[in-house]
Amino acid sequence: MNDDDLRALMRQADPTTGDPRLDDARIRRIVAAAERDDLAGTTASAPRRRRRLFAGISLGAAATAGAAALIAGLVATPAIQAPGPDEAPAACQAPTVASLQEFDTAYEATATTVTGENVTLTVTEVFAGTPGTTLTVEQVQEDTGVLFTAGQTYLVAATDDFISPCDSGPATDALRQLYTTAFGTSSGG
Amino acid sequence: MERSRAYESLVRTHGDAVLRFLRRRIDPQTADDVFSETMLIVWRRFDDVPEEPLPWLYVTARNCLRNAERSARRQWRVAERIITVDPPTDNVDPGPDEDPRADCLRAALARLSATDAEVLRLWAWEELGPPEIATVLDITTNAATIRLHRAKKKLRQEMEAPRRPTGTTTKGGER
Repeated sequence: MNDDDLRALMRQADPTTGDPRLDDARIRRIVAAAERDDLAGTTASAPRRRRRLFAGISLGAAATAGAAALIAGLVATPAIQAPGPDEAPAACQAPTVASLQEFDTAYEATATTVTGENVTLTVTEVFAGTPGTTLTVEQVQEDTGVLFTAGQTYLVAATDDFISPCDSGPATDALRQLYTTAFGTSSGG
Repeated sequence: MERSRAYESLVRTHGDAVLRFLRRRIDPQTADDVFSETMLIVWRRFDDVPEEPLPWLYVTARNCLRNAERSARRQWRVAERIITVDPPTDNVDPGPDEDPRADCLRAALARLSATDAEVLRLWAWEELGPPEIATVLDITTNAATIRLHRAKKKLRQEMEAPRRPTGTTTKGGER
């Protein structure tokens, strides 16, 4: 069963299948309740970076009573933790011995060919698992582009067919030291 | 007025997804109550809503749901209605065209850890990718990717061996 099959099957188990969509009357009640809310806009009383929400709509949130701000702060506590994109955790943290040990396969390999999304890796050293001598893997997307470039050598941490973009990278001395510490001495590929 | 119009637009575009998010995790009546509370908080914090609002909205709904759970410990009436943080899968009415494996999947999903089940729900039911799952769960994208990968693997294993006791699904050599 591939991922698409699994997802399709899970959707059949969705308890909201068959539920009617949120209707217009309910939407109007929600908006009306919001407009009646005394605490509206209180969070705008503190300076903050404004984010564009919808094209063509300028959001002019009016500040209201300072006393209400305190109450709003308390009431709105559940959402205070809600992160937006700017507050989202960094996509990658630097690999550590512990993070590497999450993976059952680790090896050093050279990207011999890169064709579209397919990358052929020739394994030169194995730290953990049994990756084989030659693998064809999917290109790994990173925040700054793609991971594999033909001709370059990489240290790769993987579980099954998942290659960690954060724990894999060009084979530098520092990363190699980390792999050696995490997995022990490597063996030839 | 502009604020109201923008808010209404947000509710029309994403309100249904937020309500479903809640109904997948709690009984319908409580979900409706928590949804109203969630949308009021969204109104109060409207300036904080990011350009891609859904993950943020889910986090807000999730926090409200946790508050409801805390209240449930003190309020018998709510406690009667709240089933669990896990979805009420046994209330699902299988349709006539439902895949026969769906029952097996529900049972397998129920046997997964709360963490694994939640990451799968976010992936399949809320249709989020790892970056959005990371936002909702407040973890890194890499961690979300790994969790999702492993949760899918565990779900497949549980479906293949539905009677296997929990804790025996790890293959030799896995860390």
